[in-house]
Amino acid sequence: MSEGIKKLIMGFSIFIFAVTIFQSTYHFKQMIYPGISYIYNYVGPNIAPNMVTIVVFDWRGYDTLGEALILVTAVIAVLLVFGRGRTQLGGK
Amino acid sequence: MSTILKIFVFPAALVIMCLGVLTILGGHITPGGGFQGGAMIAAALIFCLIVYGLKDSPFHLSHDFLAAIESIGALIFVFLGIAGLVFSGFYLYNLGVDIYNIVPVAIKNIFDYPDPTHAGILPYLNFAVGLKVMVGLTAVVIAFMGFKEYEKGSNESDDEFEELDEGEVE
Amino acid sequence: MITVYIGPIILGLLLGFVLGTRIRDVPESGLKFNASVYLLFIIVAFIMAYALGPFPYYIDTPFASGFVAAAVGIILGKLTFGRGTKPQKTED
Repeated sequence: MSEGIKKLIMGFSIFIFAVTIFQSTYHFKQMIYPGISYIYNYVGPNIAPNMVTIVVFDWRGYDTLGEALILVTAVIAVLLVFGRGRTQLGGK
Repeated sequence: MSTILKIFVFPAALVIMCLGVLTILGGHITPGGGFQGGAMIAAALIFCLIVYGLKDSPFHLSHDFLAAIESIGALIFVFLGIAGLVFSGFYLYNLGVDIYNIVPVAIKNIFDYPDPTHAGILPYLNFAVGLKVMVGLTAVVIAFMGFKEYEKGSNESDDEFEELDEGEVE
Repeated sequence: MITVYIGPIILGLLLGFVLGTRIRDVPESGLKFNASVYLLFIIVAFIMAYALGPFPYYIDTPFASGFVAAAVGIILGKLTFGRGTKPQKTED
């Protein structure tokens, strides 16, 4: 393909993407319904003063469990790859 | 490492460890929590490892200790969730502050945190995550420090190119 | 001083105890950490706890109770389960 046709296609696709993004973010605030956020902003300050810790450990505590298990998996993988013959991994 | 560093590092590491414990304990009031405080305690332990070396470090961390503490940290988190599942219908339900009022008062008083804020099981979860992170990061650094340096074997490939020049002359 | 909140004190003692059981002396490297170092560490810990101040909403003590509990826990761990003068065996 020549240079001119490449530039034409690129300009056309950028124009399509820009129009899509601007149309989806125009009047974005009226399109959101808060829902559960009203309830948790009413209940949250009665549990603990730090709203970030409440969301991470109380409302989304299951995700934090997955995060902790990722750390275990990473440590086990590093010890297996870099520790052969140097650390006692157990077994026979 | 110089003498000034070796005199200074051990008390400084103790103070940094105490600051890390303070960050873990105040996870529900101040910024911080389990992950951040665990990283601070790991930084103090790695500081001692770098300055004194793996054999002379004042903190003796064997492989059994690291494996045991990491397993205990993960198991405390999981068992607190199972306790929430047994006494109410939900996994990881906050038994100290039950917002649906479905748990009897005796169990609610057992799992409550004696504190002006009464945050429930949040500080115990922070404690478990802090144990995990501090031991995991130190284990990775210890595994890297026991690694041998690369041996020197790259001088053998230079001899092959010299023989080609001798063949072309003939 | 109304009542002393035992939550941070107990958790701080536990964490300090776990960390204190790992301190040991190595005599062959020329470093000696005798009792004067730990006494200086306790004095510095008290001064720092008074300068840091308590957590918000805590009205029991004028200093940071978690910090002092961690320092006392480290010293208790070293006194009970502290290793002797055996050098560390590198695992082959």
